[in-house]
Amino acid sequence: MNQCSRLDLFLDGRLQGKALAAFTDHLGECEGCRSTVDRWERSARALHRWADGLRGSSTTRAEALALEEEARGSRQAALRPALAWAAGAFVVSAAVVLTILVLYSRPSGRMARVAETSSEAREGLAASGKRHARHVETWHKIETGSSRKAVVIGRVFLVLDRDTSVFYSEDEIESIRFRLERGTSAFVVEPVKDGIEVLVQAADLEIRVVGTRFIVVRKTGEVRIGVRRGAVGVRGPRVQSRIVKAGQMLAWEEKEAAKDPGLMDRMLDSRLEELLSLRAKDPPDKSKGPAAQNPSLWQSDGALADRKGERRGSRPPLLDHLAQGRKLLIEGRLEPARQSLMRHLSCRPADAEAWSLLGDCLRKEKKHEAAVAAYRKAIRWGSPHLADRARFLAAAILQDRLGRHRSALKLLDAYLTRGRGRPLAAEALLRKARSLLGLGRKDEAARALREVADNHKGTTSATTALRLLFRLKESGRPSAGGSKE
Amino acid sequence: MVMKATADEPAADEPEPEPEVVASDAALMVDLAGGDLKALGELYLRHGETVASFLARVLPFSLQGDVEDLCHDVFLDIKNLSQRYEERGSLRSWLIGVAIRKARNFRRKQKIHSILLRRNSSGGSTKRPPPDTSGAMTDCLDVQRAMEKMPQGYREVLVLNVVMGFTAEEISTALDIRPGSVWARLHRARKKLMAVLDAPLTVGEER
Repeated sequence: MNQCSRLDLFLDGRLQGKALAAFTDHLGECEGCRSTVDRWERSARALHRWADGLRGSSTTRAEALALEEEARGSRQAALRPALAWAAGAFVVSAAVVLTILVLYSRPSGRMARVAETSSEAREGLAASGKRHARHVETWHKIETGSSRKAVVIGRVFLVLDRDTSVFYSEDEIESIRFRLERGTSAFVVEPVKDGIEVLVQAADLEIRVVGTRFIVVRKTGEVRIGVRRGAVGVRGPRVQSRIVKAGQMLAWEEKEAAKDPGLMDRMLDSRLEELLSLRAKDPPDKSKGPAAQNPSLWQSDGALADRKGERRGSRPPLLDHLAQGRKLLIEGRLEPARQSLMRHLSCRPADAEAWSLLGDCLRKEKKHEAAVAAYRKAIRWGSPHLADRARFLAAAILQDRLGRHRSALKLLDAYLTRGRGRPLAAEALLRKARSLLGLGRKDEAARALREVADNHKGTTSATTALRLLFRLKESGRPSAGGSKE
Repeated sequence: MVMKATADEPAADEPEPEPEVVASDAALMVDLAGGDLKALGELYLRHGETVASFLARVLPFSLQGDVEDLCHDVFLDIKNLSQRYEERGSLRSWLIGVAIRKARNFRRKQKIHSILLRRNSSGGSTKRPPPDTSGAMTDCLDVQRAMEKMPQGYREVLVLNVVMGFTAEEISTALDIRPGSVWARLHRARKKLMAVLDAPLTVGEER
């Protein structure tokens, strides 16, 4: 084979042994190959210097800042003529649209009125221009009268309550923006797939959506945000930026907030009880704001929720021991976490998720037998994914802490029979091999180890399997068939 | 029933403490899928720097803040993706795969944005300032030029293999392509890089 054709293999580092020696000899003779190798070495060094400069170099940061400044300047410069052009265009187009609407449309109470007027367009443009002076935006208005309305805008499913007015702007490139003028809107936002951001403005608050379900209420001087799932980021001029998570409600009053900037923090969660108690009551108490006056909206949001959401919604207010237990467990407060989970399980003894969390808690408390018992409950009642996780962890405890290899083996077999593509398949196989070794079944252990080494190349489990296999071959021959453990 | 499960005391002759059962990347992913956000923190500590380095290198014309945002996006995404994670090679490759998709989306958005900006701008205001030809940055201008000209797929392979030391198998996992395609891309990327660096205007290595 012509050695010159092996140049790429050499540069890739794929030549070994005799082939490498032969090519090295060839380099001494072939000027072309030697020159290419030299060029590549120089190029690779330059590439490394460039790459190092991009990460953590002060020069890069300075340049980045300069570029940012420059980009900001150019954006503003670029926007000025665009804004002037757009304002003019809007005045003309909105006048035409208004004329058409007046002549041909018959807005009814049942249908949302989608209107573009010159004043609205200008207002929207001005509002958007203040915060996001990047694009020229068209603002549309959706208004409801005596009935509710549901619309889909981009990836946002929007339910407007009676007497609600919302502006929205969809530039299809970067963001979908909503501005709640008055009333109550429920937002159901699909998870981000296209990178398009969803922003909701209500009074001075700006709500940045991460992919969630939430409700915004605006009435005179007050904005409320209730989050059902996921989280939203809230910020405003007189408000400290913060995240509002599922189950929390944020109430913000314009006048009060102006007087006392710390009010928002204190008010967070304080309305949660009110919100949840409103749900429980039937008929609603009219003295408790628009949410109570229009309970159908809250119910409709509940109807949108999936089964999990419905279960969550039906839990007693402020007694979500499962969520509390999970939170405490994550914080590492094991004793209160265990108590919360047990309290939850006393009401819902077949909740596999709670059993799984209780297993985690007990495992961390080193109560191994109890942890295995809890995991077994999770296996019994859990979804396939949850049961798999519980199987693996229970097997690990049985094997590592309790030395019960036979029980561990059963669980690992059950885990592996559900498919070798499980997240911990390599580790499970390795554990199976160890249990087999513990039971003295060396041939089966060797087979399992070989499977790990062959099918999970590149993982730490494969390396460990090879090591164990080597040890097994070295030491296992004389005592084949024996069981010392 | 509940009481029974928790009232069990640990065995009297409890074995000596061993390392935590759940420790590998895959195990952390399983914990993350179970809702344990500590696992996410641990994964970020292990792989955050790798992902950020990679993003900085495949998006060389982006601001530092953008790269960090993207890196955080990657780790926020894996919280959701952890349910579907299957161990096929190292987690590092899988994370780089997620980062690559993020980087591509980001570039696409930037491209659209710059096109719109150019359409609406009045002329030369969007031009970049002349590069600073003093100091360490000058050495890298040729490489930057080469990387700018190179297709994104080639750039990713070059950075992953030459700069970050990924193997062809790891790159094939990350990019979801065959190892043969990895080598092919690498050869072409290498030729392109050398061609640009050998151009007469070179100010890099030979200066």
